[in-house]
Amino acid sequence: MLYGYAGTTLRINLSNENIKKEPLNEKWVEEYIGGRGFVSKILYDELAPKTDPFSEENLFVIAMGPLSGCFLPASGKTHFGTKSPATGGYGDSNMGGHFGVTMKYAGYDVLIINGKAKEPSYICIDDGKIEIRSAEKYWGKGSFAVEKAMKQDLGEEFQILTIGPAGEKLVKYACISHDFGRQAGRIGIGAVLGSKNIKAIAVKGTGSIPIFDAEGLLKKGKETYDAIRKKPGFKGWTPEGTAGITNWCNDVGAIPTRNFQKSSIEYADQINGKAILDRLKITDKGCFACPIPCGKYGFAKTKLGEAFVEGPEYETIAMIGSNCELKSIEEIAYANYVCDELGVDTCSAGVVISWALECYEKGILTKEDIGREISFGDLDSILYLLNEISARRGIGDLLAEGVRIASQRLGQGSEKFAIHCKGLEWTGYESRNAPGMMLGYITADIGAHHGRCWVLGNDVAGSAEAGSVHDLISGGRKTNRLPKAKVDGVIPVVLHSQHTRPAFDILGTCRLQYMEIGLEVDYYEELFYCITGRKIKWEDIINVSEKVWNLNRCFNFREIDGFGRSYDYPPARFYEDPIPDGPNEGHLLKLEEIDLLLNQFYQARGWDRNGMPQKAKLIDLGLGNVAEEFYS
Amino acid sequence: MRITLRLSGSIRLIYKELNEEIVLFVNEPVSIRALLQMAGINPTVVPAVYMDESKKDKDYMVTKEDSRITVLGPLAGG
Amino acid sequence: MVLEYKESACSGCRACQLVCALSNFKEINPAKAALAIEGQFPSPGKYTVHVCNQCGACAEACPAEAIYLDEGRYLIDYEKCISCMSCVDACPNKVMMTHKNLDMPFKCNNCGQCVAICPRDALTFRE
Repeated sequence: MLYGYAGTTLRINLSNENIKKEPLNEKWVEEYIGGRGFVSKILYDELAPKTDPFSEENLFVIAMGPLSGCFLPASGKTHFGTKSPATGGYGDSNMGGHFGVTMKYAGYDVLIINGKAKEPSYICIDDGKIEIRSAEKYWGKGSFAVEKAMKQDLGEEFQILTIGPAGEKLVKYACISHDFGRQAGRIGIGAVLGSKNIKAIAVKGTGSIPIFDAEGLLKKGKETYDAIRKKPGFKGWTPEGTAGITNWCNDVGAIPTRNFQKSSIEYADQINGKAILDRLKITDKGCFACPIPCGKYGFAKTKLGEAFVEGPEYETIAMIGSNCELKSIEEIAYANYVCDELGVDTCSAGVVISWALECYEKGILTKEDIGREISFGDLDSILYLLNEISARRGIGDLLAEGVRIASQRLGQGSEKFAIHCKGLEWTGYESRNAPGMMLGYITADIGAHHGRCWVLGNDVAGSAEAGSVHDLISGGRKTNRLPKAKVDGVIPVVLHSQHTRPAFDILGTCRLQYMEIGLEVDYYEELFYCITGRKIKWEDIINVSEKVWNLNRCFNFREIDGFGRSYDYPPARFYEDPIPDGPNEGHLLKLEEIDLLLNQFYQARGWDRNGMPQKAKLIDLGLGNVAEEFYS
Repeated sequence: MRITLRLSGSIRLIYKELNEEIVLFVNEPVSIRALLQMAGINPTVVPAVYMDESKKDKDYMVTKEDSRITVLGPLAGG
Repeated sequence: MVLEYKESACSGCRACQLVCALSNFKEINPAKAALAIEGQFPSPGKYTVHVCNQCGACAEACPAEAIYLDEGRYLIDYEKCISCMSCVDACPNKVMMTHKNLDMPFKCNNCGQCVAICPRDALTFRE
């Protein structure tokens, strides 16, 4: 008996409507534990090399972990995987809410979809009963509208995930939406669902997850919730959630502004967490089993429209807000709503739109190209572009390709300020004076994403260099200008973050209980034992993290022609143009500094100078079969 | 005057050698900023501090015996 | 003691349902919880927790006299229950629960696990 797992993989081939239930592969469990580990293993093993992301053969995977849905804080993250249409490489994205746990209660740890439905469809999972149904009445509609309609049609007990019009039109940064405000935003996961003619997946689950020691879990689970209540930060984190960081990011010169042309703003108080509380918020909105809900659900009213919306989260504040120069929380929240309803990732959309705005300012894109005048700071311009992108109309067709391809096609020097890595748009942290953060962004398997490594605090502290934690960079004084951050010594900090974060994705829980509140990892070891009956040490999970990093790196080498070191650089703006303003004025990471970071990083990882995992490393990690493929 | 700093997980990810609770003794009213420095924490790293259930500025002067101050570290996302 | 929901306090996390089912059925399965969370989204954007206030309407409706008062809470005598589900229809708060794998209904026994676990202190007992 596999305790802690629902025990079944559900496979759906949309082309021939073949639905198959098979026992969960015990070797996956043994070697990859769950969640993102499963995603990584399935994509590497089951996806035919060089598959086009929008072809029928691409896989769309949902995978849960052994802790998912169980009685412990924040056990509700859902993991998605596919070959990314944004990068052409390994892709995963995750979201909170209640979808994946319900899938597990329905009896499935893993859902693997391939093929393409003949007509717009949705998948209905009602415990053991699986149906592919027509989505004709939902096609073309927005995410909120569809979720609401489907709940009315199917029943409140169904959990729904949907794509918006952008996913139907294969916008390469289309997202998946769920629970009226949660998104799996990145890597174009929504576009892959759209390419398969799937508008939504609905799931109802009423079954139990087998537990090794239910009494023990009841006791340990309660202890864990109690421990969290007593932690410093239990009360401090929740009120503003991720938006609480806005002023700090501005204070340390890390807030992207005008397509990363600048890194500080004067209007932080108008777009921060407090502004959300004062001007938007109706309720805190939590993910499954979470004691510290970061979701803020509210109502935003602007001159161009009004809406109920969850958020904005910090990333949206940064990318749709300051990076496009929207200066009020209402306008950001409303643009957030439009992104959600259309089904586009606010991070990528913010980068693409700010790039287009800069191109327009520089005369690279004209009024004729765009179809009207546009400008930074103008909500109407931003909403116009979002709608054009989601419909792939006019300039929107180019912008829907993402900033890498759009800039390559447009040329005229616009590649230099196309802010992405590997084809995935950057997110909310200016990193020209943050070497750890920069290295995290440029070496992330899915492209420039903050979720893989977040060490901006270490960069600011100057603590990256081992033993230098008391070297207080500002001497504690209020300072208007930060010194250049230390480049030496960031490698262990980055590796620690890169390995710790996936550990939670593998287990199937949110990382914030540990990262924010400081819940000790011992709790996870003990909960893991109560749930699965298997003893595990935190180091074992970290080892799986490292294995996943290496497997995904190999996936990218296999799938992307010419992949390697050249894919690990930021856009030229970041190593050619010093930050012109704010606390980091004058700073940048020179190309030779980035090269030094990459050399040290590859060496520490056991990768060669091109960033390819070396044979011995792969064998050491239990990836001997992969080593065979690359080194035979 | 006895003052306790309570460090969130996010600040301890940066200052790994610091304990969750740090007790400091001072003779006169002192700013939170100075307390952070005494504990070896760069105030610039700290986005928010809470005392008596409300958010305080880092220049807030602590005057009460047995004050307990929660120090949040930087962490974001979304 | 009467279980009560504090208006606007819930964030919809369902920890109460998890602990309820785990405590009473020894199972991880929120569908076997004796309280219900209703989310009203997108508008007006709020959660309501439906709880049993031990009003006794179920006992009144029961034709088999299978529901009895015991120390302030109504319990079901499964020896007497005839699975007619009259109590389910009679419950004004819709918290006489059923599950497709169970022949008989189940309800809140005031065990208090939900009150203890709620991170939002959204549930309380009124004396």
